[in-house]
Amino acid sequence: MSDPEKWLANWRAAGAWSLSRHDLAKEGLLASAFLPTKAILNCAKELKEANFSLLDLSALETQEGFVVTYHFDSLNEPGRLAFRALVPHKKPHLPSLYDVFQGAEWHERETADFFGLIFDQNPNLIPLLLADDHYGPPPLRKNPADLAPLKKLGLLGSFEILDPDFGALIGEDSQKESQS
Amino acid sequence: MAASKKLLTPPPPPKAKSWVEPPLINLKPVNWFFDVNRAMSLWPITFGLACCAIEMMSASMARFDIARFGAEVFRPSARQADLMMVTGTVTKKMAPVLTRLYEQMPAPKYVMACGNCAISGGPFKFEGQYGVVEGVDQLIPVDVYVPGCPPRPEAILEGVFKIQEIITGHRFWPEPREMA
Repeated sequence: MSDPEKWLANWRAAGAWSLSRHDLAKEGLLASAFLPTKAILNCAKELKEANFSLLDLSALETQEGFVVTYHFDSLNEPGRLAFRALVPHKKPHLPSLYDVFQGAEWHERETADFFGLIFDQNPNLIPLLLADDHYGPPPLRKNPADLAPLKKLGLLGSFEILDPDFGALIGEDSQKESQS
Repeated sequence: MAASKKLLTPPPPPKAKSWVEPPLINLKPVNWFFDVNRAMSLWPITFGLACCAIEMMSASMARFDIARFGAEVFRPSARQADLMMVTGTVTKKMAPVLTRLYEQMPAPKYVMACGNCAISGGPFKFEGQYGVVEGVDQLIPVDVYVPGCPPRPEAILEGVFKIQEIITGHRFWPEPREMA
């Protein structure tokens, strides 16, 4: 079993906004974290060096912005990890993982298709599944009235908030460690 | 001599970009002979888009054996085919490919829309859908519609009979008892 504490410590050092511990049997994850967008690339590199593979990359629209989730699985031992990034609606830019995991290119193109996110260093950010002449807003964007707050989505497991601004954004107290 | 030369020389191409050459010897029994030959050796293009293609494969295999009716030579090149079975959902991404393949087929050519997706969009026709062409007849002319989701191999065979009927004006095979 991969050691989640080691990775949680790594992410804490990388400036994570929040850290979560999950029940592998129930949620399929050992640990996850919200990372600032500028830390994503380095954390992915660390995981790559520890022989992790990128399982998938997907987005979810919430009231606070897009939650982009990166799932990783170890090729050596069981145990999945994930980290997430919160991207604001107004400026949906993210770094591309293409330099670390080449296969991320396709996932990023798909996410860009459906949510209109922009992956900055992706070398080939053209529509993957949509037609080239697709007209209109990205198809999986929701009405602002239909969006759910991030807190209600059950992404966080048992979590601790490290960044007070992030805590204020999702409406959680950053001081105490809480159970959701 | 002059008359037979006139009969055997094809006329100069008209100014339009595409045209169908008139028959070399324009006599009714000769044309009928060629039509029957054509109908008994339809060459479909190997073109499967979704689950209906599985039924097309089944129709071409030993149990249903489309070879009994002369349509077993599935060609991998559009330039050698004269029947296009549109088997499956036509997405907007695939639409340019489909029209190009149709245009590459030499005339006379026939199109069979197999299954509800190719006929009207089928289960993918709903308000707000962004990826599916609602009926292949919006792109290319269709001769025979074979409904079903997916159609049984017998239905695909019946579609082939219908195309043979369009070509020759005659149904060569006995009608199944349930249909009669």
